[in-house]
Amino acid sequence: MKKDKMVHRVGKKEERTAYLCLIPAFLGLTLISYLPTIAVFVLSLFKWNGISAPKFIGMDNFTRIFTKDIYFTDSIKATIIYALLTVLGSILYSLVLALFLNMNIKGRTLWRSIFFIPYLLPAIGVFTGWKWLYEINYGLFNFANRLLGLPPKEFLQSPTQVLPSLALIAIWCSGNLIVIFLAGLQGVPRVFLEAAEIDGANAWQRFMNVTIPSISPIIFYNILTALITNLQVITPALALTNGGPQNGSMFMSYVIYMYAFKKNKMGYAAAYASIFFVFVGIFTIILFKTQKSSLFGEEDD
Amino acid sequence: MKGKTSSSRIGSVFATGVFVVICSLVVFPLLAGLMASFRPGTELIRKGLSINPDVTTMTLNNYIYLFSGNADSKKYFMWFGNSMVLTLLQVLITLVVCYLVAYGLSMYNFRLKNLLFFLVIATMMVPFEILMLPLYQEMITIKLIDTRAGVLLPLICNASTIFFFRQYMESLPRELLDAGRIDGATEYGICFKIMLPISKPAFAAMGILCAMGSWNNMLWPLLVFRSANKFTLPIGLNTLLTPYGNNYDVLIAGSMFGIIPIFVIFLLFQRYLIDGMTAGAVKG
Repeated sequence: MKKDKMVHRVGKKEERTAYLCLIPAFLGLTLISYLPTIAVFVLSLFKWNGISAPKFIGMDNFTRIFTKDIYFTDSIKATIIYALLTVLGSILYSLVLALFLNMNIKGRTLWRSIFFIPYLLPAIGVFTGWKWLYEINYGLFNFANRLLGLPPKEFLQSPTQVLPSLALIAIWCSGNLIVIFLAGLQGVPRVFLEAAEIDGANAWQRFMNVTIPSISPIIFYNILTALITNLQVITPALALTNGGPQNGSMFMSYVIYMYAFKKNKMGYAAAYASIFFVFVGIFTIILFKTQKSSLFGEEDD
Repeated sequence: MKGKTSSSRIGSVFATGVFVVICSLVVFPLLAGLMASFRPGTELIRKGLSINPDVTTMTLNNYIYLFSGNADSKKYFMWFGNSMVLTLLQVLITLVVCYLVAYGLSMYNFRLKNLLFFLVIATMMVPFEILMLPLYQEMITIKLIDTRAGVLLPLICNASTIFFFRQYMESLPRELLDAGRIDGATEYGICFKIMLPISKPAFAAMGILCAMGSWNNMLWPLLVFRSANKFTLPIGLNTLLTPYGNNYDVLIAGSMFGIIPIFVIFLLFQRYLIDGMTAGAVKG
């Protein structure tokens, strides 16, 4: 009986301490996350220039976006195409490099560091450098094109080439994925690979039948996190293209930024943000569905 | 037998070839940037990154200029200093706040535990681009625009950092708590004197990730800071590109020099960083 009482007292004390630990963060989260999220949805029903009193206009902002907005279709298209190109490219790039680094290559740590540098560079430096590489007349890529006898390409100046060009920069910067893949590859049990080799599987068969299945959770995780990160793309437009040429890189988050901070249409931007929220939410839910076991489930290990 | 060796040799030669090609493609822009930092700004404006590594025009002038102590140089190191201070503050506060939350969520049992954890994780679903608009208004209302606190406040409570700390601490033995209690330690003593020291690897990993994010963060500081003397390095470098002419000398040399602090940290703590980055992907 005495023991029961003690457990109870410790439990109470535990609970109090736990709540004390959580208070600062939840105050913060309420202020910086929950309230603003609600605010966006509320604000989307108003017309507001950020200074005078907001005016309630119901769903007008949404109907305007869906019917009249000049950026809406362009922005969805640009966002999805950019995200797809970047995700496919960076997954392939980082997986291939991780496979190479996983073989016993000399100076593995050095190479891993080198591939990681682009991820560390300040965005503005990266974009300025690549702008020069893409330059039409004396840029390096067009220099190579001319050497090969190909006509020069416009790259960032062309509404159709701007997204692949920006995606290439993002792929170049995806050193973080290499690090994750490499860690996954090092976790593939050697025994399986050796067993497959004894059974006469060649390198390609070993790769397809042993390596890929072993790291498939990591591939999937990388694809989905990369997808969500890249759907939220804004920096290339901020630092390099301003959404151009001809809305070719008019990303959804950049449109929100533009309406809110350049044109002072706060309500309209909030409506746009709400739509964007649903848009990204769909992809995020998929991620969390697949990640659920490692989120809440310690049961299985 | 002989056939197998020669085919695997061809394979490895081919693989090495592919590796070399990819490596050179990756390294090339880096090298071009590094070379550009040794070229006069006027030449950069005229020619951009030229393929011809003309050694005769290469100079240390950009770096000498960067360290010369003139107006541009003073500005650059002011941004550099601002970034240092902001990054340091952000890392320290984030680690303490997120550690506390994760500690509460993983070490104790209480009724709302799962709900609260879900509420933390749910904030990962909301992109910052959506929150920036109301947050900006909020910062105006509570008069934190153009202050460090205004930049830091929305960034210090990071759901993925909390998540990582929690996952890490779930793996620690709970017996330590009881042992501490029996030895007469207070709950706070246990939290800070027993659990914190054994969570050092988690602190290191999250500290580095947080430092990198903060050092290169552009969007939110750009919105909050108004006065030029508070600008951080990414915003400052961005101001060098103006419609009236670009200050490429400082921009390129400055970008190159600007990665040094974060790269040194990366080299020193690489192992921890990898643990941190793989936390969500590889179940350990």
